[in-house]
Amino acid sequence: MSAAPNGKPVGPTLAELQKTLSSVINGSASSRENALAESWIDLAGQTISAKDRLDVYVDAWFMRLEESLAEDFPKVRARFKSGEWEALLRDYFAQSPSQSFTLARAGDAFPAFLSEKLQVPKWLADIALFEKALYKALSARDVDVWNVAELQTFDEEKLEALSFDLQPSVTLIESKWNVFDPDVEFGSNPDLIDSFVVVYRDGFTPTSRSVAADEFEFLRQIANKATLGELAQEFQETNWLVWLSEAASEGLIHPRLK
Amino acid sequence: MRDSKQLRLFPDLGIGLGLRVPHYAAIREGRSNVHWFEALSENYMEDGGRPIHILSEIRRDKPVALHGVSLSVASVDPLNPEYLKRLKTLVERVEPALISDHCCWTGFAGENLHDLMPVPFTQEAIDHIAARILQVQEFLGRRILLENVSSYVSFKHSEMTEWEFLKELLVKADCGLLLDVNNVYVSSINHNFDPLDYVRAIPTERIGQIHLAGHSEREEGGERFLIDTHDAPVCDDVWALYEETVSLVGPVSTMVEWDADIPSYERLEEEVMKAERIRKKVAL
Repeated sequence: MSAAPNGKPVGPTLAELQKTLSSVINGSASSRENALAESWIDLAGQTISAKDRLDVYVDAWFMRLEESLAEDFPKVRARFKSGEWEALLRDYFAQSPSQSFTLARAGDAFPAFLSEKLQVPKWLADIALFEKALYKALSARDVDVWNVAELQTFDEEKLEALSFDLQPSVTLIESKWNVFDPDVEFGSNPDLIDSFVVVYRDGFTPTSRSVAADEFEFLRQIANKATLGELAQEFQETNWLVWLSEAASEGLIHPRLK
Repeated sequence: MRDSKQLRLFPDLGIGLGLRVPHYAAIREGRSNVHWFEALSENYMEDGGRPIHILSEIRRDKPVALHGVSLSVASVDPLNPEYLKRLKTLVERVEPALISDHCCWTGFAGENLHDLMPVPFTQEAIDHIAARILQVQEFLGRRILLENVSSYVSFKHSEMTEWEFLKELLVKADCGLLLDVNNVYVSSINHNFDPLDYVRAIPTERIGQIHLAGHSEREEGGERFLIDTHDAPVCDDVWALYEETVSLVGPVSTMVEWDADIPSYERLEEEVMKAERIRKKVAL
């Protein structure tokens, strides 16, 4: 570091400082960048080294992100030993650095990351999707539960053309493994059984309900903006009327009214 | 002490506490004796759900201050428009008595480090931060407070002390200071300065809120090194510094932060009642 005419060392610009320190903190810095950052630190006549001072930030960076993901994905976390979990997260944050203003979004790409990891069983990514969906339900926009009895006020033509939206808290997830049933404990691997779940919010509480394949398909077609006429053609009346009424009373859907 | 007739830029709300999830029940049951609450802005920027519902409910009874950690006002990245939009929506919904964030940067090139990174005390930093605070204040339509952060590094190329830096920044940005007395103390140990020099230098009318908190301590080569962990009671030295500050500044909205190993609500109130006793003894 050279000296300015006033005797003060000429340091990095704000941009240079932030670029280098960021890479030191997230572990992507080269040895040259680490040394450069340490050379900027004023030790204030104390014995604690520049590296030890910087390590306070380095350690806090990982600890915060780790705690956040462990809290958001408790079932996924429980499947790993500490060292494996840490290595997995370091890979994840190298690939998907947190870009949101809130830690609550730091794990948004985690299910997709898991699904692409060859060493990780595919069903763990489905559990991660499920846990992420519960969080989404927790903080989704508040909406009123739609009263299905309103349908009786519609004329036949309007009913045929009516379509629906899933409420903001709702996520539909399917898996080839039996991983969504909270009452089923599984050991090293879950059973290979197609399973379907709808995650939503009951009042302020995130919840979920396992559904059969045909009801799941019904909800998926609703999500894809199928009209009531199309749904009536595709599904048996004794089924879809019950599903529609249940979906409405649980606050899963609301009509797209013009 | 600050003359009571001196222009106050910010209201004195009395003593408050940080609003934390484990204490929702105690507060909603009416077991709270504090005058106001401080909510972490980012926790209430979601589209809906229980937290914002509870905050709105609490706000009906008591004043609320919004305190952010992600404005990143010192970052060289552009201000995040989505963040500012959500903050403004929250401000309109809650009508907070005070709005604050930190004098720090939290990320670079789009990455958020989720930490309060210190700035070098240079003219470049003052000009950069002041311009951004003015931009934020214009967007929100009101004056904000910036909090001094605890730091573990300082920079050789700093051109002034932290308090000289803040003094100039507060005037240039026309904003207030959320003086975290614990942070002053932590940094004073870590960077070897007298904390009294710090609090005596800040223009009193700019101090709009005070934070108190606990920290953790470790020893490095026979020297103390402090970390701002918010996981312990406020230590005696920080109480003494608070008393000195209040005697200089007068009564200022004061709250205790406790974010890890969170005790019962009653224990937390005990802690902040010490601040009330000091305020009454020294400043009221």
